[in-house]
Amino acid sequence: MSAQHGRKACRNGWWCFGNEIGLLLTGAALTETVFAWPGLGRLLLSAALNRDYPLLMAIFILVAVTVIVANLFTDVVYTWLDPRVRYN
Amino acid sequence: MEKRERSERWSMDALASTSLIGPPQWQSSFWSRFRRPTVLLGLTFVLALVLVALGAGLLAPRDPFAISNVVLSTPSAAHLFGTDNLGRDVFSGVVHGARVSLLVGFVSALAATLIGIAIGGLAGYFGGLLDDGLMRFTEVFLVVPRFFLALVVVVLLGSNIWLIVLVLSLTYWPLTARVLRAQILTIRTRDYVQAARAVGTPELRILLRHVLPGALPPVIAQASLQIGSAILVEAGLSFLGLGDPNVMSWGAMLNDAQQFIFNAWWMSVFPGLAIMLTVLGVNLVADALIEAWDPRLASE
Repeated sequence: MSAQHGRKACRNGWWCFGNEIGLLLTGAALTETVFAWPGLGRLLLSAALNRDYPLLMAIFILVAVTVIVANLFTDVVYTWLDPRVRYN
Repeated sequence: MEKRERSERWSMDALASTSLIGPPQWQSSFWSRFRRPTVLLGLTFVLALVLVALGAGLLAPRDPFAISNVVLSTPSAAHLFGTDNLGRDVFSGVVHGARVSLLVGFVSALAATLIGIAIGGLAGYFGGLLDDGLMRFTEVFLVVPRFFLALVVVVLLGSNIWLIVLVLSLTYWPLTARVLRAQILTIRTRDYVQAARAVGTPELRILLRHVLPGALPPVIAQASLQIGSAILVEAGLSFLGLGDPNVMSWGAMLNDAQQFIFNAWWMSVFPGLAIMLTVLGVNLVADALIEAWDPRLASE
């Protein structure tokens, strides 16, 4: 198995990356609650429960920016994984 | 030896079902995928669960919300799965919880599939500007973090089981739409579709009668995966204490059990097992569906 094989194999799974990042950021709320980790997911939960709108907005913006950057990153890396793809 | 017989049977089936025109026929090898023990186990479990959910009122020995003075009782003949800190029967809770989980899973997967079919079908078949517009619209919904949106909506708008179903179906349909669109793109150029167009069949009729039936199998497989995923999201929300307080759900039972995990293992083990086995069963059936319709994916 060479680097070329790895590149070809990665193509099909890679597009999920950008979407999953958004889920990971906040989907960890459950893990953070169980283990009492002070993470973003638990922060979101407590902000929503206490109607802390400025904090909620800050988390929204943070997640939105991360999702956008992750999607851009996905697209850029995709051109390397599959050189046939070109963005104009 | 067995392998050779099977491949011969498959080729016979393939010959028998080969038709040069018309959408792909259902093959009899389809059901052979369901004869494996793991898949049968999953299918049996899901069907049994549907029966339990339908007959929850008859099956549960007590009202799941009825409190008593028998608190934190270990599993016994009187309380099959023990009782919780308020003396509520855990077995009755698990039985009634099946209703909520299956309702959320099936209804949200069904709604998402219907929206996805409408949007993916139109985008894939008519193409052009409509395709571009609908697919950009789909991508907007695709990147919305599901759990995040569900959590915020439930906290701000109040906890209601139908609200959770609505949020889930609104975030699941883009996957279905994309799968269906990709499928239709390959089918709409087939000869039998061209033939239908040549004899003057109206476009919408071609889409509904000739293109969609052949494109549906992967969509149904996708829907069955969504059922398991939706059940997990609902359980997660209830676990955070954000579930509908008017119905007994497995996630909510786990939330209550958290404080008693060292004193009363039965409070967390039984609802947890119920979630795990349900999602496992649904996913086993989903995998069998995917393999049955696309034997190239078969791991054997």
